Amino acid sequence: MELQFLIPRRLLAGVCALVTFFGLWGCEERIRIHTDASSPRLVIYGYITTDTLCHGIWITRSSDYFSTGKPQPVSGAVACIRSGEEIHSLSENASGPGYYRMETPAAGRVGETYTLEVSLDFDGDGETETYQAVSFLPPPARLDSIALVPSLLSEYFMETLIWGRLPDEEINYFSMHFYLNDTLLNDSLQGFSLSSDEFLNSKELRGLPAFYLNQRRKSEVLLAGDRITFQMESITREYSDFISQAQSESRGAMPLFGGPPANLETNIRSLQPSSSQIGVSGFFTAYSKARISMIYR
Amino acid sequence: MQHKKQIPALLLLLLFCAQNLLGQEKNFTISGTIKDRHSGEDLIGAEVLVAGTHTGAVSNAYGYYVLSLPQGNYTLVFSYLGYVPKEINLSLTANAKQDVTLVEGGVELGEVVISAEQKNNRPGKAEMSTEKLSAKSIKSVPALMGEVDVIKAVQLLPGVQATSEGSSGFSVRGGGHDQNLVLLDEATVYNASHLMGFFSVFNNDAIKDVTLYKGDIPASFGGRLSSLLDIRSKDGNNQRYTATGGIGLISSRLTAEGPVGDKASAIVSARRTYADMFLFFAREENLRNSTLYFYDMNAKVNYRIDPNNRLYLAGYLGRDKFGMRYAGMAFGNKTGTLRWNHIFSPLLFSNFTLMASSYDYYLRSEISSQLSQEFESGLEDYAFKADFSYHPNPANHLKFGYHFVFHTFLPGEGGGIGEESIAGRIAMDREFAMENVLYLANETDIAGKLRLKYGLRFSTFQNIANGQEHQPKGSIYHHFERLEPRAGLVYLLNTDQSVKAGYTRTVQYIQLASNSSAGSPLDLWFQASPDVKPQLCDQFTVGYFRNFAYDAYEFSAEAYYKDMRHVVDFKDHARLLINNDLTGELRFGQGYSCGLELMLRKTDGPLNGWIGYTLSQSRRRIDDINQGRWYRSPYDKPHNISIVGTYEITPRWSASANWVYASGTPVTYPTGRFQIEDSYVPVYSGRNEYRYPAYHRLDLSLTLQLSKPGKPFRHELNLSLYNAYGRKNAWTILFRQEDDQPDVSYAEKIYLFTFIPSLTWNFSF
Repeated sequence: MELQFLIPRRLLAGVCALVTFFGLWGCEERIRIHTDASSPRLVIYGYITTDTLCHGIWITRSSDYFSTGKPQPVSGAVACIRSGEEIHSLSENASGPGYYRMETPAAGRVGETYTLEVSLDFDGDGETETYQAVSFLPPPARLDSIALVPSLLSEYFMETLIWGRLPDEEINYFSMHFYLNDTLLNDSLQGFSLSSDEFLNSKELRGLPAFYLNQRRKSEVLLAGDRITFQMESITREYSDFISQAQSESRGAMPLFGGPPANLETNIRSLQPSSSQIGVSGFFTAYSKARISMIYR
Repeated sequence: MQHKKQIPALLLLLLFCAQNLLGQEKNFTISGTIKDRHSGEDLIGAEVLVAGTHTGAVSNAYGYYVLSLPQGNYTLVFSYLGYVPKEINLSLTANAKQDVTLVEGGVELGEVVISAEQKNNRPGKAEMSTEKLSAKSIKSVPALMGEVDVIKAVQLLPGVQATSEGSSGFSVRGGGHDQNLVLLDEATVYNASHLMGFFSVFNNDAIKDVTLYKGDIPASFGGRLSSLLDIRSKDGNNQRYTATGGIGLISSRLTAEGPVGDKASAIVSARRTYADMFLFFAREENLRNSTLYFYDMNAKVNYRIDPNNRLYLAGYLGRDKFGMRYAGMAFGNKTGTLRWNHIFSPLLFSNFTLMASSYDYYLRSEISSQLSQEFESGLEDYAFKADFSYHPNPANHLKFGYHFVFHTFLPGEGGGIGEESIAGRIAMDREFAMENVLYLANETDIAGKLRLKYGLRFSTFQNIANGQEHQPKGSIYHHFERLEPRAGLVYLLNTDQSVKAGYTRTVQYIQLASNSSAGSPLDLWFQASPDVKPQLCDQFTVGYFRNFAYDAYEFSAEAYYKDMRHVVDFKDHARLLINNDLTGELRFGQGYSCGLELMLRKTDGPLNGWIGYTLSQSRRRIDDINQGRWYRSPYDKPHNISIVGTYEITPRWSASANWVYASGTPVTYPTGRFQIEDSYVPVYSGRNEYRYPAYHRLDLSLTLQLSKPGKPFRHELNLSLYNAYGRKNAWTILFRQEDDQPDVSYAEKIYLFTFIPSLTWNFSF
């Protein structure tokens, strides 16, 4: 179980959950819905991080909501990531159509601005369309130490505490991930733990509870010798919003607290005239990582 | 500036028109109060009619009436819905005072003649788009979990819809749920919901009268675009001490009232839920230590200083509390009203009122000492009103007055709790505003068959600086002024039939920052400002009204068209909480709604109730929403039917039922999908392009009188069944992925209440 710190949205979410737990007599039933098919949208999603890797992007085509297949890859695109004079071409992976990655490993640099450019003929009209997205790579947090203690929340929870310092930027946005023996515990979109220090009174982290391990959950049971890794990604506000919107829209909204459904905001821009009818979704971002590990004894 | 100069001129013109209509003939007045004989409660909206004519009057909110008539002999007929009418013969040779008491139901013995005439003169009243509900009729409607609820009864009226299953939020004629002005003893109730909206804040035992204005809002009221729900609490029995109460499935309530000396009476009413008491038996310790309840309390004292002066002091306090060990929330309203009625002369009635109203909510999260935090938000109003009612002659009834409101908005403050918390404290700037209103209206009778009503409301709204952004604290940095004309006419085809038309302009200066169509306790109110123009609505109505069978049946057909401007909505994924730049999240546009409302009501006999049908359409066009194209408003439900009936089977047994049907709520469905981080994310249709399945529900109740007639202690047992045939109405529809086949998506309906029985024991003595 992850713990987000100090975003009022999370405070609200907790209260909503509390109210839902108490107040609703809700029952669930599957229902057959017919919706018209929407025009396929171009979907571009990817990132570059401070890890030295062959970073890449996925290019796919959206499908009907109730289709049952995998996302349809889009092949034949020409893509690159630029930063100043530095250009990394992305090539389509032969074993994974629609996945375009760097040919040689590289690491994103803190403070740089990265631009993704993608050219392709998505609608098959013989004309090439070009898309672009820009992202700044924010500085990482400094993680000094990590500890595990029994939690006061529940006798079944172990609490992960972290020490360190957040970047000196006015407001930082983070996503957090937790590994147990190199297995990512929050690997789904809903598991993405988003946070911000907008309302913190200090940049110093002094034993901040960051994650809870539920000892009644098989995948989270701790044994002596287990390696625990906490990873904190410094992300842009726009990417934080994108993931938050994606979580919210994929989960669905309750009438009391949710707003009307809306498509995710994207930073992928078409360089075609505005008359272009191709819809675009997805996101390209750059982020830095900080990690800290310990062995459980 | 030109506009400013026109305002006094228009008010003077109105006054001049009214003055021209003042009687040239020498008249005498007959005035007094109309009360319930047994409780001494003022009867609001009781009618006085000069027999054989169309001349008459209606008692005001304090039971006071006045008629101005030439010298002569008259028979006056006093009537009130559900009461035995009374005829009084008099010879009018001088100004006279005639207080009248009426008896509820049954047959009254004594000096008074029982008359079936004019039990309900709805066609003749110079009002339309107005519905009255008595506490008794509200009580007869089957209720969710046995909790008799004013707003749930209001939702059964034509043109009114619940905003979602079980919600106390309501939409009137396609308007938003924040476009309804809800008043309790004239004080604004900003959030009329308990328990996340499933129950309203009004305890029916403390309520005397409920009037809903769907249009044709009197010039003395304003501030909301769509409707006025005017709720008046009981004054307290001034004849004897009584108590009423009940023990229900989720709450108990007790009301005590009685005379205080010779000149005063008082009432205190309280209600509390006790779901949390059952949590004590839960296995989970966290659950055992949880809090889950709401309470409310109404109190009122009225003191008759002398026949011409009367004081009222009324208050309401209600709060919801939900909490576990690590999180909690609380919210509630407080209102207070101090009112002085003064009769300057039989022709001039006045009312001076001081009011205070507040709403606030509080959130708490204490997962650990470092992460403990809290947040609170709310608003406060302080208001003064001076209202005058002047009856210069039988043909005219002038109303005029002045209102002042001072608003304080508390957008939010909070942060870490305790020294260990790493959350900083934040306090968003408080905001202040003032409203001033002058109004003048006249109702005039022309040639007996034509009644004309016209008025003008001149409102100003001023933003007051809070000392930030280079404005001296307390200075006015922006100013709005709006004219709100109101007009209506009634043409009596005969004593049973009339046609009516009306026009109402309404202006709304404050609105809810609410992303949800149902409303939540965490919604914030915010004010019109240089960046947010006041919302404006022009409503046109025409209607045909007819009574049948000696007024046992009423039929009405009303058509309306509403043109709304500067309508507020929010951008996609708007952030409304703790946002100093809320205006950046707003989007503005226009809207319209139109419809036809049909209603057939039976008011007499062992079987009574109504059948209502509404055919309507409601659309919005807002910048940046739905690509700027028109879309269905969340309250667009083309077909809406309610059938409400109560049948007195025997003097001991009575049964009630209501059936409602509404077209499905407009909804935005996913039409496509794509994958992000191994999860599918929807691509949506245009805004509100689809609808949920149609909503329908049958509720039943059965009441058994346990006491024999005439006994001082009366008690009854009420068994009610909500959603009797277990319709699984969609509260929301969510879209999910199969656990074992993540590429397969499916839709899942969440429904709330199916087949909810409840048992309530009610008593009075």
